[in-house]
Amino acid sequence: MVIWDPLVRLWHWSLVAIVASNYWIFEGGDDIHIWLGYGLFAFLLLRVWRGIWGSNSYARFSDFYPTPARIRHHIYELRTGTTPRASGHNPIGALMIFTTLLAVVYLTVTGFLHEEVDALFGNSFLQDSHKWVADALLILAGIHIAGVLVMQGLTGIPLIKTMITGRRND
Amino acid sequence: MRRHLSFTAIALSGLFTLSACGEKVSTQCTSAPQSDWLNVNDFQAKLSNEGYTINQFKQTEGNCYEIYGFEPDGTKVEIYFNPVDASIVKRKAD
Repeated sequence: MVIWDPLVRLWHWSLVAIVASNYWIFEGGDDIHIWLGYGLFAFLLLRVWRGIWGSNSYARFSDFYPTPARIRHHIYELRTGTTPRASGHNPIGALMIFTTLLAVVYLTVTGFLHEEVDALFGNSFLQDSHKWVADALLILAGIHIAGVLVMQGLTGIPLIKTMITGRRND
Repeated sequence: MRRHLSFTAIALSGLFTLSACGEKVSTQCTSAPQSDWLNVNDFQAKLSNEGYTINQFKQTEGNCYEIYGFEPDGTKVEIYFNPVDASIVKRKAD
């Protein structure tokens, strides 16, 4: 069955590639750092559009928006080993997703203001908070990878493969 | 199996967390000790005399004097200088 459509996967892996590039390779202020950042924001807008109006139910925010009841149900499924193979995002992962989306919005807004508004060029608060949020994003990525590995082990569902191919065997 | 898994998971998240503590790419300008660096005020005064407008001056993690501002002809620039001889190490302009 198809779980993740091409757009969800494009967003996921462009996020990985662009955050890694802008963190470790292209320094802030480099043209390519700036354009990669704006490009990632464009992918984010596509993802949000799919999350709100998309036809793929796995990709819709309403399908995985975290609520206390959903979290309780998720934990119940884990304890009893009854997580369905057709599961999309779990509600704890969803918390991570929304935090990540907010972080990318924050990085885009601060980067944009710093580079495009002359009076804010060199502004320390924009620079420092841009760096802190970038650090936070990397820490989130670490927790995310740990979470994926643990969940894949607990449920036996091939999560990583699904995010690459989009498909999961029934 | 589960123990092995959580070890891997913790190790990985730890690795990422460590890497997040300041391993960002940054321009390096000199390895000379700070005692060899130009006086900060003299350096900025020299640039101002040459016609630069300095929005913001910073001492970077990569041992550079960095300015955000405008060149004499009005070009918006970010420039990394070697703090020992005031030579330009990296210049970012629109």
